[in-house]
Amino acid sequence: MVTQRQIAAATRDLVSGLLGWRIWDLLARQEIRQRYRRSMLGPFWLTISMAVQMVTMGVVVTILFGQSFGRFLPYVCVGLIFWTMITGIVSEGATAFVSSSNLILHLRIPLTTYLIQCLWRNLIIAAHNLVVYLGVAVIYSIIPSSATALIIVTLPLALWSIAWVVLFLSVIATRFRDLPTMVATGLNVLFWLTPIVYTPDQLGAHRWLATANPLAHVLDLIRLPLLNQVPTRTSFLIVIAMGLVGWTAAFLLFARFRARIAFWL
Amino acid sequence: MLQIHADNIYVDLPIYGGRSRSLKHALMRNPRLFGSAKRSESRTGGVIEAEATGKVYVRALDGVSFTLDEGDRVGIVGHNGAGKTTLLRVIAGIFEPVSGEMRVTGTVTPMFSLADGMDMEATGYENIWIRGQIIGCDRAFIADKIADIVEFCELGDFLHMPVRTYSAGMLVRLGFTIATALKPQILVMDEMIGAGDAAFFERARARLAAFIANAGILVVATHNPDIIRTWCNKAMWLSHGKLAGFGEVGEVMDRFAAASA
Repeated sequence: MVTQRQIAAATRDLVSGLLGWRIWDLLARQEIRQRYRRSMLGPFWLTISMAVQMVTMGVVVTILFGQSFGRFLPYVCVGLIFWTMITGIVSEGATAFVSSSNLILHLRIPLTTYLIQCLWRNLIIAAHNLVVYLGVAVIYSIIPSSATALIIVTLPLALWSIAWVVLFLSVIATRFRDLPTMVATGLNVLFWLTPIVYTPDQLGAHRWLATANPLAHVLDLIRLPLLNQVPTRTSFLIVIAMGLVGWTAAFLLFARFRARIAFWL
Repeated sequence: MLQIHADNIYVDLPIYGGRSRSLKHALMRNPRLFGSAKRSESRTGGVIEAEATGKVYVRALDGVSFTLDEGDRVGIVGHNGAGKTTLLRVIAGIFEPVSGEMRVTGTVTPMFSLADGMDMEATGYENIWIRGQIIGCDRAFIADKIADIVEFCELGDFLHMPVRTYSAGMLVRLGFTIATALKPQILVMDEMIGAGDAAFFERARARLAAFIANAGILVVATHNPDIIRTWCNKAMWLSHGKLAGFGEVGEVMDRFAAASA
């Protein structure tokens, strides 16, 4: 099904896409600027809307579950910030080729450029949102420890383990235009299936719902270090396994159909 | 040594309607509904074919072979839908042929539009950097050319205003000036880029001439025979995706004119 030649061409596309950082950095920044042109606060609107969402949601669920603010609010805050990042990457990634069709049909740039641009853009947005976490950390005096330093390893690992989803979905979504709608619905379901506004322990006997969900482990990998805890070995193993399987499948799919994408636009 | 070598190239463009774009329909599709393969021909366009699966496609290039060498200035002519744009996209590496091989030695600069990638909210000055980098210039090159671009486009203080406020003519001036600041090895154009009002036009012609003279190979598709006779030394005539003629510009253009009359 997939020839050696197709794999070589896809690898070239990915490598030169990564190396062409000036282009994806430029396109990502340009897109963020475009969204907030002529607004006084610019991209810091992101920070503000995240803060508002976090405070309302965080306060309601903390009261609802009878938790203490100091323990629960930082948990919800970090969870929401990175869930926003993951949904942004996945839903915008699915339409990455379609929304860049005028560039794809007029220029010769590696196709993966547009996917890396989507990842990078959402990372920049997450960096703006992290300001909210810093505020919460100061208020509830979360003092960084050696566990916090783990984030240097776990954040890239978590990103790697979900980045293949973008590659996978963008190819299919270019051919089948109803996919982005399905993805949006799926992400809504996953929001409730993933422990973001609740902890796995609160599921009681149904704790397996959270532990069987690979996304919960991805989230734990980023969330726990920021809350001064160390993610479990199981989380690491599940995330690495998901990454390996996902990348293999997504890369083969991309290699098989890469040359068709321009025709589908 | 720059070269473009096309070896028996076939390109099929898939045609999707609303239904075949749907994943649900693809999964539930019944092949018996669509009957056997069909072929149809018309005066314009490629050959439309339908597979037994119901997938409709247009054969846009039908076994095209040619070789272009350094110094060649080639004009492509043909009816609407004869495959001109498809061929340019294959040369530019945007489309990959279904079968056959396109071997290109040298860097191809496609020039299919003057404004794609420009940010309407950014100033003209910022857009020189944005558009310049998107079409493949590095920052040192743009820094080197920026004075020339600013001077030639004559937009003055408007360069500090958002491009959104520009008139169509001003936008063309900016796009044209940025594009022609490049030094392309292989230049591929869909319709000759033209520019602006009468006063700008004469200066633009001279700049375009220098720009094209700098390119190692020029491939341009256009409906204007005068452009081809003026700028090109070779012509390529495409008809229904097939190469109907390729050679010395006068001879091919005369045959094309006779056939179209």
